[in-house]
Amino acid sequence: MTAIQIDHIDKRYAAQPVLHDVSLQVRAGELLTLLGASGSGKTTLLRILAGLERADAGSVRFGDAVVQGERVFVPPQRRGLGMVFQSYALWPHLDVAGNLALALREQGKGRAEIAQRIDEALQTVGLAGMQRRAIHQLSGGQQQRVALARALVAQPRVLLMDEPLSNLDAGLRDELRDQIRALQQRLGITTVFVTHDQTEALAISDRIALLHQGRLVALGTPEAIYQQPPSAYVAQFLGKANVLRARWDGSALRLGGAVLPALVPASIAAGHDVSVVIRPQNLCWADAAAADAAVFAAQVRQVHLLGALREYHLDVPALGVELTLAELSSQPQRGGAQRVALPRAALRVLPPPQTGSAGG
Amino acid sequence: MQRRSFLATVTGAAAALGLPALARAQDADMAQLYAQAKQEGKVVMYTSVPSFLLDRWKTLFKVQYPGVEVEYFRSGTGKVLARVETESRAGSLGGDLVWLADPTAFNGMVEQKLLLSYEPPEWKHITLAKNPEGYFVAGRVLVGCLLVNPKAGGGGVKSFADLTKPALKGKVCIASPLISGSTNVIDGTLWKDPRFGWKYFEQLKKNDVLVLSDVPDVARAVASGERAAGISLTLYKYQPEFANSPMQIVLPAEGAIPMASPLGVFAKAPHPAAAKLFYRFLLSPAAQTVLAEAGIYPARTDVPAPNGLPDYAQLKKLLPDFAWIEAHQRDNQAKWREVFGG
Amino acid sequence: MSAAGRVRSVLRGTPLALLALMAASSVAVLLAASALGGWELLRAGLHSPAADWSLHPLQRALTQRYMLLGPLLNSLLLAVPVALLATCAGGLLAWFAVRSDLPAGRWLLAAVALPHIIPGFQLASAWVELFSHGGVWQAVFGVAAPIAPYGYGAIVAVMTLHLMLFPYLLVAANLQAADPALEEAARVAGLSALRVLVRVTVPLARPALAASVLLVFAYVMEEFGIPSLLGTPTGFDTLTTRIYGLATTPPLDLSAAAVLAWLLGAVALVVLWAQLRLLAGQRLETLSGKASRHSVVRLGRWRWAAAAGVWGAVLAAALAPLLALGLVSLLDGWGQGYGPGHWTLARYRGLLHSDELRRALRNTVLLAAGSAALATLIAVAVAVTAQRLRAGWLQRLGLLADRVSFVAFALPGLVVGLALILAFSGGWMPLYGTVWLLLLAYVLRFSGVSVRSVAARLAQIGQELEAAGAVAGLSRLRVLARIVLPLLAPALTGSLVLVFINAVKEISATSLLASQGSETLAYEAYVRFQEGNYTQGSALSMVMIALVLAMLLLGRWLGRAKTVGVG
Repeated sequence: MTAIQIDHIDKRYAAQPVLHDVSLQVRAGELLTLLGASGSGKTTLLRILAGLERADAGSVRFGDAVVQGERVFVPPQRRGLGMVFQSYALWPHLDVAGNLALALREQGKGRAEIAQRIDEALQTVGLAGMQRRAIHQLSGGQQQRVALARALVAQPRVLLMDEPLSNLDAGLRDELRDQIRALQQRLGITTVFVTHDQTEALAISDRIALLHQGRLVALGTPEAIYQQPPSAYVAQFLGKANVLRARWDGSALRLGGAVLPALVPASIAAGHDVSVVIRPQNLCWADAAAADAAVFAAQVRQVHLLGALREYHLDVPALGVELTLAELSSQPQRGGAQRVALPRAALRVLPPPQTGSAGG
Repeated sequence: MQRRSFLATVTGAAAALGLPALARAQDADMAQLYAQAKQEGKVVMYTSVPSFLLDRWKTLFKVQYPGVEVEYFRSGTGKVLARVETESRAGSLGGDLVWLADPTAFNGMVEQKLLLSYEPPEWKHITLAKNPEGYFVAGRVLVGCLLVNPKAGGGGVKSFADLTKPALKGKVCIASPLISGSTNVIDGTLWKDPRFGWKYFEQLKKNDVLVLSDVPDVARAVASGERAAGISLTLYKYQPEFANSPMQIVLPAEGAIPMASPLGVFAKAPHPAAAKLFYRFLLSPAAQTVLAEAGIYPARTDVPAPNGLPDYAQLKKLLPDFAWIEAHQRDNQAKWREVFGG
Repeated sequence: MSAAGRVRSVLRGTPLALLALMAASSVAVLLAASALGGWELLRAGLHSPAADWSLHPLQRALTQRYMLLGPLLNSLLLAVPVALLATCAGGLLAWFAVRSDLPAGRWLLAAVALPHIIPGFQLASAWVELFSHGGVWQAVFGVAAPIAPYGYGAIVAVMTLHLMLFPYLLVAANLQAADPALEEAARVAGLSALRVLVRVTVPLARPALAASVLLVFAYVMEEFGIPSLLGTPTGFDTLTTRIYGLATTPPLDLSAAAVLAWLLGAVALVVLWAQLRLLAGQRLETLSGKASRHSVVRLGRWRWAAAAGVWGAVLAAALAPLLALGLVSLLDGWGQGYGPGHWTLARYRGLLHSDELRRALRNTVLLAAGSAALATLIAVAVAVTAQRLRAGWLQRLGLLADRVSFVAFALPGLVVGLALILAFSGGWMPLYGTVWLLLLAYVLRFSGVSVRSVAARLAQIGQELEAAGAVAGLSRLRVLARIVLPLLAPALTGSLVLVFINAVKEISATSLLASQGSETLAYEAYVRFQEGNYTQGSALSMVMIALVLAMLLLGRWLGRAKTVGVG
């Protein structure tokens, strides 16, 4: 069931296009992340969903109800949403209970019911008993949770979150991230989550919508987008990737003087350049490789220990490129001259980047 | 104080008894005015006359003519004039009578034909500031004089000329003719006089004279001892807060400068009968006696001068030439700015 | 929504809707009265005895130096230094009160307010009494005072003391609510407390500082009492004293006065425009949704030195004139020395027994409270309309009202009075001659103060706070009421205080418009001073001051948590 239907949204600020022909659907109960670099339009899209901005063209539907359309614009008050702002936007002149109660009072609820709902909401986010606290007495994490409670207390049909974790320190961020995901799944509430952090997006999303310069360049589950990125840009945005330019002559992929074994999609015509994307962790040393892997001599330039993984920066003269290889840090460290293997399955061949397309 | 009132009552009674026929005729006229005034209900006067005088007249009038409310718009001469001018421009004057400090202030109103020509019997007893067309007459006479403080070194001051003496350097104060209407008249009289002219003021300036805004400020400066002498009006010595100070009135040897303070009725007064009634009341002996008690010379010749001051006829005077003052107003203002700045 | 809920919701909405309606109509009245008055002034300015429409007065004004250029120069020479000095002094005192641990900081408000509550000419009078020949200084120290009692320097000093309250209130409101993270970031980066003040706090306070400079500038341009008293002896004439002279010293030249008034208004508008341009495009929002406690700057070993310096200066400025005034009000008579037996309470007793004075007191309270409330209401309406609405005719109307209110504030009270007489005395408006006309005059005169202080504060409230309210289901009006207004509270309080004080003191328009029954305490005091009845006038002034102080304390007590100056 589609909870939110977004069709051909355009948005311009002055003459600058911010969103261009963006369409997607958010399914009921899913957590969809709008991911992108700053300036990608993700926050603008979220604000359009909230009704805080008005799209120049296109439509938005919540279920059957059109909230933004040709002649229709439903203001944020009547969209039945909950929103967590990047700066939390907690009202400093009200205490915690006051912040939560405001929306409920608007709905005309009675005192007893309001008090009960506040209790429940605070319980849910783990801040039971903090009704009377003043906002400035709370820590960053607590404020974030109050903001979340405030968004949920009115039982909205959709929850919007605008980079809610970006102001927290790393440890707290991970913890709250997981808590938010758990809460969202428990409540089954349709959520649109905005972030620029791909780790966050990969960790909690049911699906990710990647935006780049106002266009939707990828939409799918984290698994799908990560393993089969539709373009070099997506590959490099989500996780790390080696991106090579090779030529497909119809029978072989050539790079430098070498031949790369790869599965080339039929859609790619012969005689064209292609992008070849290889994840660092899918490269391996020659002595561990399968028979169909192409093997090249490589010189280890740099080694980085990244906790669980160790990353090697390798010079590969035969291909004329630098490759990054990652393996578990429990493996012995190598150095100097080595031989690196490119397994056939590790290479993802994509159409060449064109100007104006979503590639590179 | 009590002696004064008694004398006034006696005088009034004598007048009433001594001229029965005239008095009866007057009474009949007043009675008619009063009847009409009661219908109108109130009278409004625009004036710069001090409020304690206004209050006393209000009380007196209420006793004599109950049923006619007295209202005032009381402000500085300038503000009253401004209000009259702007209300007239807008076509609706709110006042019935106007009473200001000096005749030059009335010229504008005469030119714009705002005043009523009215010469009641009371005019017989008044000789000053009688407008030939009957538009206004003196209601009181302010007298410009010297105020000195012997304790502050003003003991030897007897004349205007004394103020330029070296012994009084930095000890004299005067008011500004750009702000104070009465000072404008006093200074105007001195400017025209060949014994003084502008030379006198330049000498004052060289003698470090202090220029204050208005005449009461001069009185306060002298009474408190801040200055030894100044040019101001006689009435301040009679005010309660200056009465017991060491300040004294000195009638200048060259002559005191009288200013008849004119009173007139507006042609388009909203309450015409009440206006005339109040006008006549203000020129009556009872009302005029109130002036004398406050140190102001009454306009009526048959009411005695303030206690301690000579009768008007006996007063040595330097008479102001209002026509000259008015004609040379702008030039003198410019010259003042030249000498004193501003 | 349940039936009961619906009824509750409507009931809650009604007073709000009524208030909004009142605000809108007040703004409409403000604009209409300004338009009418301005038009009449224009007509007066272009009127000459020869023809109804003539450029002659304008010509005369521009060509004769003593008419326009000289006084204009003097006015600017006064306004600029005083604006800067008063803003620095007031802003610094606000910082001491709100951000440092200066002893008794919360009482600084009353001390700073005092020189403003005392009418300008009173303050000037006290200055003269202190420093003049034969004055208090000479009596105490035996030598002539080294400070000039009259002239330019005296005017600057007295005006600065008189106007410190504006920047104090605006900056204190700003400091209280700014996001401390911005300053803390600077501290963490290694800046000393002083450098934090200079590099972070002051720039953050820009809107408040700018608004203060503007307000003080405008006030100086239109102030009459102080330059009149202290400038006359040295011939220092300002544009306002010139306008007064033209309008009130015979032979009257109302046309010239009107022309000069229009030119003064134009100067004010230029200054306003310049300042707004300077502020445009800067990120002013400091109040976001992440509030936290401000840390107080510990003055450490400077604490007692600062206390002595600050409190010494403030008390001298506040108490000296008050003392002078009080002494005069109790004085039996002049020139008899200041020993025992020369004091009396007679003036105060006289006050209690006079019907007229009791009526004046009642009028003053009603007018001051009424105009303070209306001006603040107008300010909220105008600020919100100008800053929060999308560009359109309504938003432009808000901007217009903003400009008009400022110009009206910069115009001398006398001119506002004249304009109102011209506009309203024609008999078509039953307001004339009543207290209601005075109310209109005060609202016209002082809305500018409220608008500037509320607008400065509104610019600092992050729009996300309102967006959050919208998403939570609050209508635009309710977002205004439940979120914006509480956050504006310090500016609203400041506005109420400033307008109340100025309405109680107001004399320049009142002395022209007052009629029987509509007198105020200030008017009665003015009349007494005019007549040389200084003791009674001083007693009335003391009552006025007591009234304002009582109101200040009441306000503190009522709005404890929100009031400026409380820690």
